[in-house]
Amino acid sequence: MTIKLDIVSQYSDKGTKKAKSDLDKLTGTAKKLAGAFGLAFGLGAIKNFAAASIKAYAADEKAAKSLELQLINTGNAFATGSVEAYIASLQKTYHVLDDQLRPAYQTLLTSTGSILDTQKALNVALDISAATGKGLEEVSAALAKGYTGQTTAITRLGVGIDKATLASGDMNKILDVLATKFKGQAAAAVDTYQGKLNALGVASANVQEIIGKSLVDSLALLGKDKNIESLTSEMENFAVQIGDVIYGLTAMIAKLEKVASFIPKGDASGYLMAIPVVGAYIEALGAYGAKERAKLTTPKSNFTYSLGAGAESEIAASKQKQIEAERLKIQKTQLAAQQKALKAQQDQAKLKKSQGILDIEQAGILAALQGKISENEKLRLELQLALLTGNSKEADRLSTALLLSQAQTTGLATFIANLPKALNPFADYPDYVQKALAELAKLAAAQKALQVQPATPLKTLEQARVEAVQGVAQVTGIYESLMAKIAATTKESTQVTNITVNGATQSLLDELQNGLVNNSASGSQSKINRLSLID
Amino acid sequence: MPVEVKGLVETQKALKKLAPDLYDNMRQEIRVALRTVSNDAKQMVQPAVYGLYNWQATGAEVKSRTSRKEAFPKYDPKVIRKGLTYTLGKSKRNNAGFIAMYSLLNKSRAGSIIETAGRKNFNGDPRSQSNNPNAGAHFNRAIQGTYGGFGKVGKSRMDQGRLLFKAVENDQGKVYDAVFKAIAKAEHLFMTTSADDRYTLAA
Repeated sequence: MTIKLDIVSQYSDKGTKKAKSDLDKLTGTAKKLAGAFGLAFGLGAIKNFAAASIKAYAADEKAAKSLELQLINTGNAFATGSVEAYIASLQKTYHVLDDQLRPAYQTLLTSTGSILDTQKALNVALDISAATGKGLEEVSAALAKGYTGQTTAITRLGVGIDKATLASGDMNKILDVLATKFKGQAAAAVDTYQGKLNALGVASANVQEIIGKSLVDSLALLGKDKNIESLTSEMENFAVQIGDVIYGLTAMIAKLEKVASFIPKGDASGYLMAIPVVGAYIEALGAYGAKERAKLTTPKSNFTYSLGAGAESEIAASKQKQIEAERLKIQKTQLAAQQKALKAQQDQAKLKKSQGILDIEQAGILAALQGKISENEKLRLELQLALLTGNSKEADRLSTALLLSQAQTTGLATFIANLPKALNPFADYPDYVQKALAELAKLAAAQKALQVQPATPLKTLEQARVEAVQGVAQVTGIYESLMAKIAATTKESTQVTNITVNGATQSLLDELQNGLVNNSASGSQSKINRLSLID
Repeated sequence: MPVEVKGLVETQKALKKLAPDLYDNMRQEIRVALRTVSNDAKQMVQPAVYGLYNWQATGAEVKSRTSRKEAFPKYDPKVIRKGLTYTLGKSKRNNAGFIAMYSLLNKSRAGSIIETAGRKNFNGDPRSQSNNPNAGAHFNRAIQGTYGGFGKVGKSRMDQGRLLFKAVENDQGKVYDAVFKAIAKAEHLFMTTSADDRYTLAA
């Protein structure tokens, strides 16, 4: 396929002009033809139909007469009526025109001379005709020839019959073979489209024949010499006569109007009564008509009714029943509404439950619950879950359990917090040292006040303080190393640790001893023990 | 969408008869204008349609696998380019009564397919009874992917295509101008130079 893109084109009216001219000519001719034939065609059609109808009836009657004569000639005059009935039934059953059936029947009858053989052969001929599409006349003629010993025509029908059967010349045998071969073809053809068309054709032909017969009968009745021309002239004369009658009546009424003395104004009956004899009959007919018309407008029934005895109680019972029904209806409606509400709640709960499955928060809680968690954490998570799912009962239980757990935990912590500091026995040593130093300072001050020379040169206060601090630091270091060792050891032991304090000055020891002696003098058992420990 | 003119046939006849040199010059100028557009269209032809590798012509003869006389044409850019041409011949009168004076042509079968495929049902025929109803859509999309959309020279669906129509669209009316200028020039020269008074310009 070539794609074409026109860049420049030109309109050519050459062909159009010619076409228009031709069309105009054709239109003009058609108009002229229509004008010329318009009226003639309408009248002609009616005339033609009438003529065809009469012709069809004449042909039909002629065929019937011919068949009747043939029946008489073959000695079957008694069967005239039954043969006509048979043909009529065939026409009705197989929708084949009697115009075709009669000649076929007659042909076969001429050859067979028997009504029974003829009817059998005609039935077979109908089947063959329907099957092969050949005309009934042709088929029946071939079969008729077969009865006279000429089977060639049967061969030419193309019915596929074998030569041996044909050669036998036995028509009963041949017909049996053909009947078997084409059985039911005519009946089957009735249901086809062509069969229906044939049915229409038969009906149309019958109509035409009936109308034709009627027309001919009418002619016979109306026409003086039984022809259309005389009838037409009679009809024309009749029309003239009718026209004269109408004119005469009008003229008579006009003249009667002038006689105003006895004609009441506005009443048509006056005119009628003025007509001699006929006027009286018309007037009577009019009166009768008016009476009949009046009957139509009056009510046809005089039936009335009223309430009988006991009707009120029945009405009351009926009303009561109605009220009861209403009450039951309302009750039923309420019940239905309640059920509906309950169902809605259940659905909501189900929905919430379903939502819970997909709730991420809940999923997180559930996942956390699957892990290794403490009892307290488990309680918290379960409580959260219960709050999320709206399970108030479970939430209440869990919250109580959680509070209890918290209280227990808090109590333990308090207990631990209030435990005495017994873990570090040297924790108070700096205080002791400070106290000792303070005492020493007091002594020094007292000595200075008394101007007493010491027997041995005393260390200065600063020296003592430095030494004390060093000692404390040393002790602290020892303590820390000890604690580290304790921490390193997993099992508990009752190992005795000997602590050696180095670097303590004699004066310090003396002071300590003095202090302790003083304390022991108080009589406290603990102080006594402490003294013993130092020793 | 062709441009409709009046009297061109008669002008051409007159020129051909009375001033054949002018007629030849005019046709040559028109030919140049049309060739420009057809060459533009030729340049648009792609070496292959990407995604339709089996459509590519391999040089081997392809026989129809159906009852058709000829097989579905293979995509051969050389053949398509060869088919993109023009004509200055007068066409027959069409049903609407128009005669095409100058036309651009896409003669090759494959070129026609490229020009028009998917013009009616780009996404395949919705009433397709085929076992592979999306084949048409796939084919059209592949062509669209290689050649792009349709070029339009009018409002109708029939006035769009991927080669000639797009070339004319891209030409932006120059070809029309060139053709009319050539005609007008020839006519003017004929009117002004003709010795015969019958053909002088009217007032």
